Amino acid sequence: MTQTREQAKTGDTADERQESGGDSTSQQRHSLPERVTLFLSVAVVLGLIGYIGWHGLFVAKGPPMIEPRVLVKKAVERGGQWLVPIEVKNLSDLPLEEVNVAVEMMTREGEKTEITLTSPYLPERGSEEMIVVSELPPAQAKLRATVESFKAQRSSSGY
Amino acid sequence: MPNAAPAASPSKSHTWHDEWQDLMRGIGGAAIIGTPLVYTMEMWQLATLLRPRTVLVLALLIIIVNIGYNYVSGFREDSGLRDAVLDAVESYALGAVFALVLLVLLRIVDSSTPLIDIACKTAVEALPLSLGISIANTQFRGGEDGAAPGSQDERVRHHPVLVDAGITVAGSLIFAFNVAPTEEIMLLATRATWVHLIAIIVFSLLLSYGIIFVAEFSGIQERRGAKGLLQRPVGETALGYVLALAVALGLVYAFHDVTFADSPYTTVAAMVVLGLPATIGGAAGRLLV
Repeated sequence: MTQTREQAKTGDTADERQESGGDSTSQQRHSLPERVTLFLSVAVVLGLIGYIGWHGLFVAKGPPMIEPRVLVKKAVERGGQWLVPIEVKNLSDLPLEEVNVAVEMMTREGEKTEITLTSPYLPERGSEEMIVVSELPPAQAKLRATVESFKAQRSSSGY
Repeated sequence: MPNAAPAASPSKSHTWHDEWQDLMRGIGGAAIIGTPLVYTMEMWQLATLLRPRTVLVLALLIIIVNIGYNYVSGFREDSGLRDAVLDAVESYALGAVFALVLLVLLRIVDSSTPLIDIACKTAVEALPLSLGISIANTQFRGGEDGAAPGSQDERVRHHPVLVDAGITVAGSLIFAFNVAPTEEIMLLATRATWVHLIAIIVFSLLLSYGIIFVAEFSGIQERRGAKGLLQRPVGETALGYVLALAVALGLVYAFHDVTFADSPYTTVAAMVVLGLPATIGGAAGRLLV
């Protein structure tokens, strides 16, 4: 297969040189689609580098901000248990890692249960919905979600 | 399988023995290229979590890639678009059968698994396996009825950029597919700083250039002397990288819950991180042809 292509290319090149009289002429014969494709390819690569550099230098600033919310209204009952969604939203322009959210549930009798939910990563301006399973309906218990810990890309090094 | 037919008289001389050889060659290619992904937990999880319509879209996309690959690789003198379509469908079907066998053998699915889950897992696992089958039947054919180079010669001669592009996409897919579903891609993307990302881009470009134009693998003189603007180092490296990035972006969208609209930076970061193995795969693919 390799030889096939080599032969094809060699033949092509030789033919081309014979016809055009050398490299300088063949360069002038580059078609418009070829030139447009090359321009677009180089533009995409440079644009990508430009965007990443611009974002890193001017956009990804400030402290990370995470907003955990208990979506009581979206809770549903399934098989005698309540599924309560917890939305964790990254309000900053920094991608975050290992976001730990503590969910505290307190009953009317004052009994307190706490669990920790972990999101492995949270992209900038992104959100994740996690579900807490509760024996009690949300109306009979007070649910509170708080951020326990997270890692920001610039503060992490090595694993 | 249609691709087993010899060049001159496809239907007359194609025996059951040839068919059996083709099937085994396809299964061998699938086993070599796709088996690691059947052992990857993220693939089973994704197959369960993805919507059936997304699975269908992925299956359709891989069939289109297989069609393009079969067509540009020109394994048979009389092979046209129709044969390429038929072979692509057969490759996917054989990949699905092979995937199901492995899923059952490894007890990833059993009689208690819901039918839709079995179908989705089989369909997702068949994606890389079908690529392996296509490659085995086009690149690793041997014996007297082996690949007929004539049609490939013609296609390489007349559409070198198209052939390069098709091979790049197929190679990128195969290489990147092995890591694309894993969570590590998003973790690496999350923790990469902008300096690291730009360094990965530069490194990917240099690596692609080095593999194709510097390393003495094969055909380096012809590469250097190729006439087309997109066959020269800058053009081929840039186009190959852009295609690899496109493949990487598609895989990020398919396997990870991140979108360009919501989180453009992380999406770009994941694309660049996955773009490195995709670039290597694309360069390896171009070396084959």
